[in-house]
Amino acid sequence: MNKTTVFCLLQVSFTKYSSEYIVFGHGLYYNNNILFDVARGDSLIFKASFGHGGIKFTKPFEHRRTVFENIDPPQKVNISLRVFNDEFAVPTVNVGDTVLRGARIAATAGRYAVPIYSSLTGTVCSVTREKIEIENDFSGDDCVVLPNFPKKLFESSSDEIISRIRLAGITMCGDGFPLWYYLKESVGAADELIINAVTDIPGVACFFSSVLKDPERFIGGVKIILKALGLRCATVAVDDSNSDFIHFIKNMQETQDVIDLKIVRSKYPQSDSRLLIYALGGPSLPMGHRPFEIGYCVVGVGECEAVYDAFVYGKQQLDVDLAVIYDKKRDAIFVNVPIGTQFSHVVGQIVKNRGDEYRVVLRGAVPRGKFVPDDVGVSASERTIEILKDNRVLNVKNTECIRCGRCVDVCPMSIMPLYLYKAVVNNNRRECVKFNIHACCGCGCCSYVCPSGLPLFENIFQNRIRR
Amino acid sequence: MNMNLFSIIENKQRRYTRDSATGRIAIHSAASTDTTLFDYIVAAIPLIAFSFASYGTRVLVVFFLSVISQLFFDLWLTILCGEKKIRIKMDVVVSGAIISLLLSPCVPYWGPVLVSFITSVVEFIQSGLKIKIFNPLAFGYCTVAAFFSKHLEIFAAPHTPLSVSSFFIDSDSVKGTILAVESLVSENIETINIFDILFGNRAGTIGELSIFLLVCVSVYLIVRRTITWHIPVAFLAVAGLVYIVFPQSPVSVEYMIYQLFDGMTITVAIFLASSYGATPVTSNGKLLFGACCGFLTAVFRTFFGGYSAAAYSVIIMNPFAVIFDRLTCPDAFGNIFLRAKKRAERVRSHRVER
Repeated sequence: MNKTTVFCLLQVSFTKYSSEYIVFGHGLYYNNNILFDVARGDSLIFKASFGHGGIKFTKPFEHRRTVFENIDPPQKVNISLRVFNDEFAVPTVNVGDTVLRGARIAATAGRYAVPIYSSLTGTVCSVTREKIEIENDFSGDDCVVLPNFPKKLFESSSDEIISRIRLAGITMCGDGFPLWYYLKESVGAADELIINAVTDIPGVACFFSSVLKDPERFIGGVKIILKALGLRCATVAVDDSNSDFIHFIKNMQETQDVIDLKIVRSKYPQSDSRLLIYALGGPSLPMGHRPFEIGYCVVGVGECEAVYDAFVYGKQQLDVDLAVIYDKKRDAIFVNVPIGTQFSHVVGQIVKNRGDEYRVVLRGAVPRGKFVPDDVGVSASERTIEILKDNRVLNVKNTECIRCGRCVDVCPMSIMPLYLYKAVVNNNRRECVKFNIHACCGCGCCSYVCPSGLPLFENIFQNRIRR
Repeated sequence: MNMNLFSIIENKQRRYTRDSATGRIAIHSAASTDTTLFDYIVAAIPLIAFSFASYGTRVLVVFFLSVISQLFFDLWLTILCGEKKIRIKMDVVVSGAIISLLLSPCVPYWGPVLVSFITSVVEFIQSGLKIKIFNPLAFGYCTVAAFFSKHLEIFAAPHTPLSVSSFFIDSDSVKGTILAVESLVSENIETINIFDILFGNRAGTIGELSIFLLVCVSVYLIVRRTITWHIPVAFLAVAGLVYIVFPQSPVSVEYMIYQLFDGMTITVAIFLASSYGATPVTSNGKLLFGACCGFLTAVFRTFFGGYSAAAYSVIIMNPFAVIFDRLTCPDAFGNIFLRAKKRAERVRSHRVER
């Protein structure tokens, strides 16, 4: 008896009781939400989420603190010139030049072609292929803004809107993909816009406070992106832990016709765009493919607000809202810093008595976080940093795999990390292909739950990129 | 000595580990190997305590003997291999505890020592070769049970205080009868009360006196995610099915229930078949593994008899664990899309050729 036969039996039994259940392919759907997919080994329990795998954090951090903490402006910024992948912007300034905040300092003619702006008023002190260092001269709040948008929004075409987004230099959260290129690909191809407002990692949701404070920015940004894509309505996906956000959006009159609210279960890594599409009833999309290929476009809340700023105030993307976690017992702290601020400055400002206690900085939060050296600058795609006590990093020799199978249980991509780790360590290419190494999304669930402390996803994801 | 039980229980912080070879840092949850395996000891404590209440101090002697001999043989082999860092490993303590659950309280004192010796040797050979073919614990138990079944299968009647000092207990002196296949086939089946089996008023091994307690323990282990439900459920379901289809007694349902509650079937399903190592890791593989074990157990007990049939079935199925994993390897997320894309490309190229 194969899977399809089992499914036919299930179909009969379900349709007997309710006509709202639909069987399509290997999946069972209820009201257009996927319940489970036998091909991926999902169980029969109802899940308004991506189904198999994932971690549910039992005690999430408090992340609804609405007050941003003020920190001193940095002495110096390191602005990275990397646009995406191997494309670098070419600097248009020289050492010793004085630049204003918002002045263009580099440009590209490549595929992604995003301009890069200075986030401080000051003097350029070094220029290399990879980064530009600018020293702050604390001379005031002078700022270069973009020229006014010549037309009214409802008269303008989608190309004009996208070129404006490109001029503002907006990049996407996470991998730093340029937003204009993403939208350009999606025009015509995508017939559904999903706004990703899911907070699966504790402390990541610094956008909630800004939405609650000024909802016009968020709604306006959504409308502009809808206009660019030629769509009428957007789906906002929120997880069930953010009840105040859900309540707020539901009660707003002006959102009724543009926003369709969908609630998903809060489970890590639900904010991954592929898993979000799957949870909302779409097909499964493999890694390395972008959502427009299956008719979807997924945009974050921060991007919507940045788009609104670019159109209404003529602002480029110069600042980043960061959620900083440095102690388990306290709330995440929100700060607004210019792009390129060194991590050491942020950490030093927040943890005054830093000393030896807090030393290791994680870019991103647990479990996906990566460790960074202090002098690296904050990039535009950064949303969360986590600061750890140094004594909590143990120098241990990895123990052996005890084959408990927890990594297999939590993997949202339904791959087998323990066999893949073995294959990667032994450099066995054939085994890697057999166990679907291409599907690893690098969420870090397997490493997080591993009782033996093996660096599973670190090895698997690195090898996947090299392939 | 590197074991502090309090730190194991109270360590709720995340662990950040730096790999000494590559320098890469990985982040892990609070559950370590020691905390995971410690759940087995927590599960074993009520079973041993219940047995202690029924049989007296000899149960504790058997328990400590198996744990200490496991530790001793492990240390001895570690020193023999030339390792300088000596520490108490949690998995060794857990092995000792489970050995004592599999044995009768009347077992001669060399019983646990011999099982521990074979278990340690098999574990060392497998860890040296970096393969996991057999569950060392099941291997040790089955080897001893194969040669000394007469000595292992002496059972005492319930609530009989056993003498600690006598090395060997004669089967005639304790007069315990267990629910063996022979007694089930005969008319004795009417005389056995189901509540006696459920609440431990019967003869049996240290682990398997009260079925109710065993079920509670298995629920604890499943809730703590130390084991999953797949193997025990598939094991017992398939074994029960075979007993019902081929009943050796006029009362088939009762026969099935008594067969499942006897011969360490539940103990083996929870503690040997579900333990880590030589078992599959995918959920479908676990179901298949449990079903095969249950089928073999039922066949052995129905047609050949034998108290240790369940442990033998685990040993037979262990080498198939990796094969089951490969057979039931789940389809990765997005593979449906890739296959559809490939098919579309093939169709397109076909059209161009025409």
